[in-house]
Amino acid sequence: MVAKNKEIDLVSQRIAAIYGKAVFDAAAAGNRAEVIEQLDSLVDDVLDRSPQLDALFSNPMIAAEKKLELIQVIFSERALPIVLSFLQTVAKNERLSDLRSIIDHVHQLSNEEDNVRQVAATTALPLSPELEQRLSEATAALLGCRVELETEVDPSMIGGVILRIGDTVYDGSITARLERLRKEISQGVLEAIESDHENFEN
Amino acid sequence: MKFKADEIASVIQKEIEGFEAQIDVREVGQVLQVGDGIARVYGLSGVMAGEMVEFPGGIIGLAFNLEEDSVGVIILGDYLSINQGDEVKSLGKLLSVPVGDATLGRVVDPLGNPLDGKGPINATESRPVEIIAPGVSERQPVCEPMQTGIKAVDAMTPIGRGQRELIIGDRKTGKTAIAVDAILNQKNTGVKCFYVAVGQKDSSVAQVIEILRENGAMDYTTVIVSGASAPASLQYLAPYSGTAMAEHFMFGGGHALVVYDDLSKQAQAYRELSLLMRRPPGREAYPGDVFYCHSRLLERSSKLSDALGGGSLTSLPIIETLEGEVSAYIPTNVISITDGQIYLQPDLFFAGQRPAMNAGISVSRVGGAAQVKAMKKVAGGLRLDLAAFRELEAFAQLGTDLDASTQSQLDRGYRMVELLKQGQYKPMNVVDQIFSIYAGTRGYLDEIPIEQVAQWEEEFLQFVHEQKNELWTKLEATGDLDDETDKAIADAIGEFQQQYDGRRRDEKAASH
Repeated sequence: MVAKNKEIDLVSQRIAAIYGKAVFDAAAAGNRAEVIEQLDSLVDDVLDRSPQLDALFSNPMIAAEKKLELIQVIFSERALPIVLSFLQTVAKNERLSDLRSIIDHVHQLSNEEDNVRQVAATTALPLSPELEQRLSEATAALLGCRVELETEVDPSMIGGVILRIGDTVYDGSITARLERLRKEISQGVLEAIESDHENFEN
Repeated sequence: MKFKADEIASVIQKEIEGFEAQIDVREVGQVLQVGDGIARVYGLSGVMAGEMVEFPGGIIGLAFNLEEDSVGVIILGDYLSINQGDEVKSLGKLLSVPVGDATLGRVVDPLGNPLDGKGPINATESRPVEIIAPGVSERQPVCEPMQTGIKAVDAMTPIGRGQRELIIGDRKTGKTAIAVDAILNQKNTGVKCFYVAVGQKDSSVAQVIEILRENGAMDYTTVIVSGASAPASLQYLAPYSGTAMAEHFMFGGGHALVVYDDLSKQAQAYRELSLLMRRPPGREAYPGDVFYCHSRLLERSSKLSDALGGGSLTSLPIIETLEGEVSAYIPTNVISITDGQIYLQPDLFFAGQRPAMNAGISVSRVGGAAQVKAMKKVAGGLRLDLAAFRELEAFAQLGTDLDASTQSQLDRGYRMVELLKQGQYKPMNVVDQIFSIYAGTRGYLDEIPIEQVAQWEEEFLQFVHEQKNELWTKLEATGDLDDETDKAIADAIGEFQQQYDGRRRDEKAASH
């Protein structure tokens, strides 16, 4: 799922789709969960924590061999064989800059396989855990699949909730309702003036 | 105009009471890049080709290119206020424009928004801008005349209701003038007119509107404007929305006339859009489907079958050529689509023959069936005779001695050319035209000096109106030229000729 306002790079996405599918298929059904968990931790615990490594991976000035050596040093002892060879292949092909989108894509594939859909809920105030639970149950019932709920807070929407599932947005926010009301009123007033001139003239 | 506060308040209250809060469900995408009137949008995975989308601020777009992972959208409005990352929502409907009597007398943009400052268009109905043209079983052959009021056109290339007649020529040869005359001549005929200005200077459009207004033609005319400063997307769209407005009257059993001024500009706008969308360029860099762009537009002009009300939509597309080059890509395309063309030539125009129609290569493929019978009889061989005359004329300029029959053919030709000259914005009734052309083709003008032909015609028509009114009315009612009428007209001309000669003698005597 593409987060709002994140820049979308179609080329990088196309590459990610290829590598993502490859690593997803390579991880045998048995330890697929394990592989995905480790890929997640690669983003959360390694790339996010040490921006230098992230920067180094995305730097085209550094030769692929250097990156390969580095990967060997850091991950050879710690990573699963599949994850290690995945990283090595990506490094060899100089696609390390697309690592995050590849891992995103792996997620998408595994969600599709497990019949899980990502839903982004935006509210004006933070949701209480209880409310969040109810919301994800309600959306799960609506979609007929399991739901992975991401929440976001946007005070400018005043109240209500906006759900975003794939490309479809269910907008129950106060701002959207007010906007609709504004349109309907101005339309109604216009029609009233057009159809009944005299009443509106002094 | 002032508002009554309590009236407004009551309307607002009613609206609020009737307002039902529903959840707004929409399909969205995100702008990847925007510029030059187009946007590439990520998402909108369920959008269909030609579907309307909305940008923030209510700007409308049209899904134009569906690609593997993005959608190319043409923006119908100000694209400068759209930013990267903006949310785009699909509206789930096709672009449509307001139609009906409310549009008549108005000047609108291709989306149906008023441009004339006369308030909103209070139309109750709307029609999709793009529809599939009526099929064969829904049509009938063209059978009624669409009088343009121009002698040369009505006599030599008659246009029928439901026909597409191309007006083609270089710049400044009077293409728009013919179309405008045709609109002016629809007064009191019940034909609704639509003038679509594509890529024209706003000053020229203003001039056309002013002429229509002065002559009382705006009562039954809608002007659809996307001027030279409008985005290419609107210029591309304008002919389709004009047609949609006209079709409303056709499907209602009425008659409509639509003028596309001009389709070469629309083709250029379409080329611009296609190239920006990275569609592959073809001949003259036009996209491969530029033919379809015009054919699907012009196919919508039709004469409907009686079962569907028998309405008609006549179109007069205009194409501007460069240096008389009719074999360029767009002119050949449109010539092949239309049912004939009126070819205007600059040298004729500058020689004072206006309308500067070249009789040799102007044709009307279907209009003959719809021509008034009497006109058909008097103007029968006129087009071919004039074409032959043009050849002879070139030959005669060599200064060789000519035999008597050639000389008489030349004399007849000079007088016919003179007779077919007509002032701008002076459309003529078809019965008047029949009287004039009768005099010309039957040789009654052969003895009149060339410079007096126009005066002779004017006085003759005046004579017919004043002294032979019953003959005029009869011809108008029957529309046919039987032997009796034929003889009556010949007698009338004889009678008038005596009066005319008498008057000339008196004038001569007076001047001595």
